[in-house]
Amino acid sequence: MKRLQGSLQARLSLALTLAILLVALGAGAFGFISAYRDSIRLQDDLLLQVGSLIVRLGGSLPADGAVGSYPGADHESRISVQWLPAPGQAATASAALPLPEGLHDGFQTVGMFHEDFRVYVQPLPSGRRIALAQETDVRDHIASRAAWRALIPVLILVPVLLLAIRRIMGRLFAPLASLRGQIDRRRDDQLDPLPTTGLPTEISPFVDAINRLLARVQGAMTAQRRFVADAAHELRTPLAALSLQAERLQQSELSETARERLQRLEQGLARARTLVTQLLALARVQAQDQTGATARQRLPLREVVRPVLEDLLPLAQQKDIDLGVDGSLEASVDTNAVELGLLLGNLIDNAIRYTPSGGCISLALADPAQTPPGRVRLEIVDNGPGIPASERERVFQPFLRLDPAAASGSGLGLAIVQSVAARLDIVVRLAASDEQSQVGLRVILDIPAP
Amino acid sequence: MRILLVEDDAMIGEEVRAALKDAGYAADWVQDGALALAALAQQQYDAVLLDLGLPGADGLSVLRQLRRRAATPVLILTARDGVQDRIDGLDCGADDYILKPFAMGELLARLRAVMRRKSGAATVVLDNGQLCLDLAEKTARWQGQPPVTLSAREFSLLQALMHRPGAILSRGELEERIYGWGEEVESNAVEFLIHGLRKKLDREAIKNVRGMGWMVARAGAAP
Repeated sequence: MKRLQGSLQARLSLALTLAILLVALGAGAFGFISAYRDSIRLQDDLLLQVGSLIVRLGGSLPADGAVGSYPGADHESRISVQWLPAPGQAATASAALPLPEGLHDGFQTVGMFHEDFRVYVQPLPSGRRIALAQETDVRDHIASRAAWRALIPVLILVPVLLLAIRRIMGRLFAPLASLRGQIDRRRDDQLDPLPTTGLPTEISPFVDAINRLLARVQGAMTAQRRFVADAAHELRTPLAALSLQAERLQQSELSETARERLQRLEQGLARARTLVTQLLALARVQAQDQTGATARQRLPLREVVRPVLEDLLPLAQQKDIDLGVDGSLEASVDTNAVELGLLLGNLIDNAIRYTPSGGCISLALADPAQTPPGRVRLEIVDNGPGIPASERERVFQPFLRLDPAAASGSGLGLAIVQSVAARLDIVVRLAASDEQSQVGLRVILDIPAP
Repeated sequence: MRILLVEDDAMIGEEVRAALKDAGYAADWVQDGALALAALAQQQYDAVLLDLGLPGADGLSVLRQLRRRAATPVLILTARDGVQDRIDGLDCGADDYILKPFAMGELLARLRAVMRRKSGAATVVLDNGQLCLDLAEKTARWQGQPPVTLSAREFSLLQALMHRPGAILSRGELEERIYGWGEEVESNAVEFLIHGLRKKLDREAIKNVRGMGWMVARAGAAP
């Protein structure tokens, strides 16, 4: 019921059906009444004519009256003519109709055999009177037939109109449906205006209003991102100064305790540097989201991976982690080298942070048989603690770190990965390296192939 | 060697100037673009360390004006790390680009590199902080040990790696460097040469990157 109330189509159909039924009833009633009146006059004229004909013929009638009949006539339309008994005299026993007494000259309606008869009493010059009678059913039938004839076309109109409304509404709402589809397919951060061409004038102001809202949201987001980028920028300079000071401090004479504390200070500085760098990277990737699609080109995957490994190998070697490639990386991908590098860098950086010393991180192409068509599947597998299945959705949120004590990450790495993946149409999935024991993290990347 | 440091941030300026002095350079420090141009007009510098975000005249416009007169090596110091910023800087005539925050060791290494390149003299020694390769003598030296002589192929292979320390070279790329056109490539030749080099120098001198190739450590990145 709620659905019916909510549906424009149902409400329109209901209202139109009611209106049509009302009109149909009105037309039927009008047809009935006018046909009824006409047929009363017709019947009366008929009886009057037959009466005056008998008068002109000299009033000759059989003693028991006469019934107008012809082959194929139905009994309702028969006209019977019979003598009326003179006042004070009993009716003829053989008379066809048991006419009551006291009929006056002219027209009247009389009930006999549980039916109504129209009776016309015609005085003859001889002083006797004859009664002409016909059932009223005739004219009732004529009237009701006329009423039905007025009703039926309008009643047929109801289902036709309901179907037509369905079609028309479907067609009218098609632009709305396609608009809805477009909005559904949008990414969270896609805020460019919706197209208003081809929309009905009733709906385009609504879409205009949505577009104004989108523009305001976009403005607010741009301001926020600019703030993040500016803040990260402004943080860099003092951080650089602090790092340089710490570096110089290390070169001066220091006690063993001071040296130990300085080392912790430098670790803190390194963490702050990472955070600021990641914040800037995320702000930039998100800012680019608004400026449109990235230029993608056909690239050998190996050449995208190589500089990333070159950047991260020193970090892996510090932790004595074996970072490398299993099998061949001979595949072409349709992507942007800088941005895919950023994505891979963040994933491998994460793997290095969370894999214990002496661990192993491998990049490998998946079996083409398991890869979706039009994609190249690259997997990054580590033997660290992995991510529990229940947390695999959540870890993409910015600043979320499952175990803040475990590693010195910024919590932004996977948020960057997700932003870049959305831009490059890369599907990122997290799984366990070893499905049996649920150990280690396996990041599965489906990268568009050229 | 006289270096001009153009940096508006007092903390960084102070530190870099002190570090340059420690490293044996004469360093002049100015804090805005107009003063930088004035200093460049009066004095001959061997290199300029230029911050991009300057009050007065923007770093890039200082660079453009300097380039009209002189080819002094310029190393940009900046917090702007967008690819486009880097391209703009290099297009304006910068010789290298270093991103804040940076380590002083890296800044000094890059400063030496840009000055060496600009001096026009052919580099005779490649150095990544651990390993020195003398191109004239065709000898290599590992961290203070006496130099060892290399065979022609060992030298070509190590030269390829030392040309860009930290870069990974694949087997195919190394084979291209050690074999001439038309020469038949022996299988395992690369492994054989690397084994020999590690024996002569140190096991850590050349690092293997599983599935990708080999590299020598980047300067300053050694643990």
